[in-house]
Amino acid sequence: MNTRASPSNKASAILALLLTASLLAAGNAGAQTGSSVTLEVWYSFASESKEEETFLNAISSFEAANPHITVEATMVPYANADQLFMTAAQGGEAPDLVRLSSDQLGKIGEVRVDGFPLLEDLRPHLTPDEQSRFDARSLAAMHYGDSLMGIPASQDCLSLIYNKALFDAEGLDYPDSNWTTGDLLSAAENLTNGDIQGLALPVKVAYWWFPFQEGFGGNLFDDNGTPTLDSNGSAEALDWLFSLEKEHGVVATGTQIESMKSQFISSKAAMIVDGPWNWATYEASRLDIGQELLPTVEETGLRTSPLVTYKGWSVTKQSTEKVAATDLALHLSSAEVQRAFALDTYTMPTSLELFNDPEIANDEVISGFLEQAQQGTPAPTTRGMALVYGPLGTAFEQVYTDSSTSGQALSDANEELVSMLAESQQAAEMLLIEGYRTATIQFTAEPGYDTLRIVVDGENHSTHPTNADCSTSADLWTCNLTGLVPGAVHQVEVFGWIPPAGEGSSGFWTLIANMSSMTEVEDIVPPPADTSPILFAVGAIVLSLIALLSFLRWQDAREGKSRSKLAHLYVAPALVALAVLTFYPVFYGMWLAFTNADQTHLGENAWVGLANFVEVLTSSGFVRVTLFTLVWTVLNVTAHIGFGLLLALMLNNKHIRGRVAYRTILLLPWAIPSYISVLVWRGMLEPAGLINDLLGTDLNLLADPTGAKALVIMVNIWLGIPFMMMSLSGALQSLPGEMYEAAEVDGVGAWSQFRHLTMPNLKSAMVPLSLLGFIWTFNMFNVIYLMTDGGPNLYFGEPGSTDILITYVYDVAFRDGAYGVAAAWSVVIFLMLLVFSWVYLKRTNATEAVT
Amino acid sequence: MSEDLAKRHYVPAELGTLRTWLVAAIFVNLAIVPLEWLRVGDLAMLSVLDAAILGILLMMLPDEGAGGKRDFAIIVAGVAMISALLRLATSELAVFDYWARAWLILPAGMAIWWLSSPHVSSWIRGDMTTEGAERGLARNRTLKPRLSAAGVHIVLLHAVAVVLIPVIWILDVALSPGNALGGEVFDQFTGEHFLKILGGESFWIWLRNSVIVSLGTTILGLSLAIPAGYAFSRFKFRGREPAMFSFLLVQMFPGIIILVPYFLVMKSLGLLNSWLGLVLAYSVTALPLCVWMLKGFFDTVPKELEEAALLDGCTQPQVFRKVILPLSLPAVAVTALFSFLAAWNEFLLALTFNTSNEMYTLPVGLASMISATGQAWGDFAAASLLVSLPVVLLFILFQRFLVEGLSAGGVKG
Repeated sequence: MNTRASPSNKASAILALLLTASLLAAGNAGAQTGSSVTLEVWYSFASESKEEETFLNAISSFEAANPHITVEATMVPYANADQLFMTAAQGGEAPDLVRLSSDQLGKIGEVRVDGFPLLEDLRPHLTPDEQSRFDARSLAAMHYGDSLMGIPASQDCLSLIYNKALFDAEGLDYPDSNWTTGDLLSAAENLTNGDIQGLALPVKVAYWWFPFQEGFGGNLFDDNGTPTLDSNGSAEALDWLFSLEKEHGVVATGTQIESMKSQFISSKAAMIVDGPWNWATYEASRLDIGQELLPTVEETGLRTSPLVTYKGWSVTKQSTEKVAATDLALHLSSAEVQRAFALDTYTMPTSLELFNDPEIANDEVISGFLEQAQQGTPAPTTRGMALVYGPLGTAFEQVYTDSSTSGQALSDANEELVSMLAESQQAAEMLLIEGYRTATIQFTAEPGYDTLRIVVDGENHSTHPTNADCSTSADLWTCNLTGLVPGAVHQVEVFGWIPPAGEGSSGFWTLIANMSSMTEVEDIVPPPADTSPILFAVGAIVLSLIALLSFLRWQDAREGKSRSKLAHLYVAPALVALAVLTFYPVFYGMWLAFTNADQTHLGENAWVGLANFVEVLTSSGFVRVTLFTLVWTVLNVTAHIGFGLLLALMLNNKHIRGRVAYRTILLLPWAIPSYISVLVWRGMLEPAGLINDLLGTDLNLLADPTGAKALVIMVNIWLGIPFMMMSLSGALQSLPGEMYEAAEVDGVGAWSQFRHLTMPNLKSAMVPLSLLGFIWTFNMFNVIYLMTDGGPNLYFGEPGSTDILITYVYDVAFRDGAYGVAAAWSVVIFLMLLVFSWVYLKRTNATEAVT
Repeated sequence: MSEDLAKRHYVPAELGTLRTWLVAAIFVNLAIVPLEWLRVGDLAMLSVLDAAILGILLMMLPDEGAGGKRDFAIIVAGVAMISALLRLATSELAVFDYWARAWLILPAGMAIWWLSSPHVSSWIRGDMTTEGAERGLARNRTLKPRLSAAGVHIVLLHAVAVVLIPVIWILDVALSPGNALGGEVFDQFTGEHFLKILGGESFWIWLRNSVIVSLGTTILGLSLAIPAGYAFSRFKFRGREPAMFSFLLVQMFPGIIILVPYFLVMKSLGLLNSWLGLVLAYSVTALPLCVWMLKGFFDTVPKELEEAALLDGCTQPQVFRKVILPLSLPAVAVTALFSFLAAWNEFLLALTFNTSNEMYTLPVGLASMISATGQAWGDFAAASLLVSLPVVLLFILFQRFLVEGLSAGGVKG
């Protein structure tokens, strides 16, 4: 809107203001009426950590400065944060503000729910000066395409950290900024002896390869965003990296991210390539450590350049308080909050003001890492970057297991990535709301002003020509202002800069224009998820069920089966509960399999018939993953029941003392949360782990496809036996003791007793146990996900060596965002289990009643 | 007369036990061949050789009157022992070597010991006296149970070892200063992690929520499952088989795909961020196992008991309460424990349905201790052990219900 502060327009301006104010007050669903506002923020700092504390302090200071705003901060577990955000967004329960990293933006940027993106484009919300406060690269990284999807608050990258004590012990000089990869290698070789490794890094993880890829002259993407994974030097970088572990032995075999940290903490590694996020932990372990830039590559003279990723605060599209949320985001990324984070938690800042701050500069750690970040390469925020880890992981596995050469594998990976990008569905472009939080001003000014400053409501807004969006023709200036509050009248002043007249005098600003500006354009919030259709659906399901049960009961009563009068009544509550909660989601899931549901157009699914099923059944690797799922299930269930029964029988023996103690100990694998026991097993199975210690070997079975399969099965057996043991114990206890006493008297031997007395009576318990065990194991997600994440992945675009159907479904759904296809996989799983259960129950006559 | 009986029926228990032990030892030695092959390559053949020697020993176990065989058996056993001891004398041994050789040394050693004991020798030679036989029989009575108990203990101790290795590791991480997942076992002790967890507010909130939700699930789950299981077991009614099958169906569909519609259903019912919501969801998840297990156990309760009670004038519900339920107590106990645990350990639904930190349960709380920038393994391990504690305590409590002898007043004849 073009307005000028002239008397004739003032009245209409006031009228418009009143109208807008009343509309705002009456309007927005979910917004607080009146002046108080509640914002919901999600964060994933660890519970009770220093970061959480710093964050919550920042929240308090914001609330203190803005008394009409209340902030509810909710902590969400880091590993599940984006999934949770997607689920909540689809359910209409997204928060106002969420903390995301730039590599997540590459994925979330593609998502559309009912045609709306998940995150708000912040370009109209911020003034140019507000944007200029941040390091240009960090701001660029927060863009997805043209949209600004977050305000950068921190940056991360890898660097070289070393243990001074170990260097001193060998009499070696500490690393310096002139080091080459050759220096690094020779120092590492000198430092490697006994059980101390010179260097700790996970050679198979692409994140650690990037710095060297850059150093050898390659890059991930070219200027157009086309993947160039096999660019010059990439293969050499990979070979050099692998040689550290395989040839030179300076890196422990099979080092993974977690174990490298443990190694370094226990002073078993002299150097580590790690980020600032673990610095506090290392210091707390009383290590004397130093940080240095990663070396230059001897062969090329280029410096290794780690990937720099950024974390920032994003306003969600569903937020009804975007103005307040943006203010909060700006506060959380402000220089003072970033300083607190930097000094207290070693979080590297992105605020330009801090780069020159003396306290920051004096802190060796932060300034050291900042220098490294300057040498680093910002990760592009693109779909390609979000997908790059999949093909790279497979390529690395192939080279590591010598089934391909680095050149070939990388070129295959590149092809795979290119085709993944070509095949994936495109999301509709995100459009800005015309005129939202923006207005245009016009004024005339005498020629000759080179520099103008725009001040809105007393605060610097932008400067021409630095960052202001102004154009001029003759004397008429036209400027676009962003960051305005809808419905509010803003006072805009334009100053021109008069340069110093001569020596000794200084320049000054002079007011050249003064006006009001406002915009009435309101935010368009995605309509809240309508739950009444679902309520109807659930109600309909329940009512049909009850009607069905009543009908059947009536039919039975009519045929004179009076005993079963109560039967339907006994069964009804359980069935109704089942129906209420689970029938609708399952029907929905099945329906989804027939649509083209994809993250790029959620809520707008088109029927595609059997297309997804065709894709599933003809996908390469389908047979392989199904086969392994069957092997996995059968071996596990057999072992669970076999060993469970054995232990239950032994513990049923009255002559054994300490049975309570035994039973309690043997229960532990079930009682302890599987998350940590699986991770501990993974740690123990590493080459340097406990199991190899006990065996006196150096096996790296988890890196081998067959070995990994065997190990995941064994760990799941360990987890699953207690439950079977306990259930079968209960079943055994129910068997009357007289039966056995009579058999003893008759001289029946132990084995015969077992075969003819125990087993038949256990059958009624064992059938449901084995069937349910089969179903659960078939769909057992946790163990494989935590131990190997389906790896090692040796085939591009296919399930990994230890993937079972359900872990692969997870990948298709959440990594690729192809929900329709994932649903089709799920239906296939469902049908397989259905057929199996049907046949199994028929053959064991388990549904027979005792009448 | 009695003398013949005694002499005819006496077989030293030691021999039977030796047979069993040798069979087990052969099995173990063969089973470790693949592992040995991974460790020492071709030398794994030595284990095959061990198994073969033990096999010969087994065949050589003498019967009554086969004195020559006995001497040969002792020699074979001696050879086995010497070879095992020789292998143990080489350097660079790992724990596994000691364990594997023990399966050679111990059976062989016991064979030598027993085969050369006076009464066994005399039995083998055939010159056992009647008193000797009677003493032998008496000895058998005390020896047999002790030997079989010893065998059971050996198996159980192996199971315990396999179970405890990771648990001890977790305990070590929980008690070691710092937050690494690894390091030397039991070199330093500190209670800092436990104190931090127990001293913080969050843990108690999580605990409160978990307890409420788990207890609720147990109660609701059992209330729904017991009548249903009973009906499936006792009544033939229309729709019985499809109904039973439908409980299984829902477990078959992968949960990750149905998470969003499930979320919407809970939202439409107003059950997000509520205890009731989770209780309902968990009860439904636990239903299939509960219903099927209870049905299975009810099946084993003889119909005659109920009919007798009915004849005595009890109504159907009374029969259920007074006759069936007490007899199925072990099954109910197991089902209750299972429901409790299913709720206690469940993570995904608790995370998805709760958007407020106040309603987080223990598993979600645990997960929140891991972040991108800090994996506080020490705290996490301590918290995990604390989370397991109530389960273990419950289980010890439930052992009383799992104890046999509930067939009081059962059917005779």
